[in-house]
Amino acid sequence: MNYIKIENIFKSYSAELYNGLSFEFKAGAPCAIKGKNGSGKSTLLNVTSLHYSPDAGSVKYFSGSNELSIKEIRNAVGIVSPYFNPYDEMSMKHLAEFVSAGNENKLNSINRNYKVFEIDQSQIYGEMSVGFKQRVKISLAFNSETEFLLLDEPFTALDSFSKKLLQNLIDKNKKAVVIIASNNDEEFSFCKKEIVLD
Amino acid sequence: MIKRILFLLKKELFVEYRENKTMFCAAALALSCSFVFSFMASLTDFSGNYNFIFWTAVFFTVFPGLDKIFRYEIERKNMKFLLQHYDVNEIAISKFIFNFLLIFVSEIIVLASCLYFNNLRLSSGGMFVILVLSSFAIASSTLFTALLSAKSGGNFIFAISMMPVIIPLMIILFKINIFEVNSINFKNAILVFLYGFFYLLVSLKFSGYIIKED
Repeated sequence: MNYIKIENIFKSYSAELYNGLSFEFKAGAPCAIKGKNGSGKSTLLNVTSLHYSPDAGSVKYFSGSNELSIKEIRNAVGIVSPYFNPYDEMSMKHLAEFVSAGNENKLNSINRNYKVFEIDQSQIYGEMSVGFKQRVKISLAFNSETEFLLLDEPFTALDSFSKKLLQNLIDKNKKAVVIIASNNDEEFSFCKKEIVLD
Repeated sequence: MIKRILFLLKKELFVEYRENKTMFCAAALALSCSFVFSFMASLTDFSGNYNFIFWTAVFFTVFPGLDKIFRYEIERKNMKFLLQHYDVNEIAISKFIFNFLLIFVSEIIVLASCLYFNNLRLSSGGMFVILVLSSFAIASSTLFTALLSAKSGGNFIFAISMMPVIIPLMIILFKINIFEVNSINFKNAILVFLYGFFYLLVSLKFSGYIIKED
């Protein structure tokens, strides 16, 4: 079983965000990160995705009993976040090729997601509406290699059709570790665990 | 790794093609610098010092475009997306190759216009070796300063940190007379290569720390 283990995380900017936070995010038990604005939900996702370093503590990824390397983690993590933005100048086709970097399975799964989310391959990312940009981020994150899903307010700007598709994708990925950071109760409906930051 | 660097390089060229700014600016600057420096030199004691005209025009041509390489991703908030899919060394190498191509193309344009504006003839094939080596050295040393300016978050940091890195290189390059067949100084050319190689190694060694955001 896949899981992420965070141990004794300390992180502070002008104020202290976490003081010895420990948790295990497990596959099959989607986890919600809740908290008021500025409580550090997005930062916790960034720390968990290893894009931010904690001041102290560790973040480890496991597939069964094997600890994953940084390279394996990058390949296995799918992120939907306002802070992870694809290039405005690239078309959907080029974005899929860029993200898959020659991995045919990954490319095919992204192209399948494009079809499901009704995304035209020739469209340029920078010329899309905010809702369609969110669909693209989801399509890129939910690929064949994804085993860990870190979602920061994933329903943002999505219409009801897309929200349903996203929920279906999460339901299908039962083997994936799913973490959702948000203040929107609608996004927590399928979560089985929660962390509340104050 | 090579395949992944090619995907990154394709992205750089694609974004450049869509934006159409850096190469266009470099070409325009190459022509204007070559003309202005040749004209000014003809009015002063620098008349006939084509080596000086050439390298000065090259420096003024390429620098405006060089610090863009990391700042582009930071300003557009693409860095996390990029780091999610590619390793820092792959990113640094692709940026280095892109800058190398930018400098080399700029040098060719400056050389062609210098030859034209000063009524000179191509003296030796050896000058192309110098162009390749100097492009390599300028690309790798400015990669280092671009990394520093990306971390510090300011264009002016690039300009300031560039001085101690680039001035020694300029001094060596000014001593390589590429317009005279028999006096090309290949000893200095090797020095240029070693200088570039040193900064490439330093850049790759520290790129992980420097690119990472906190």
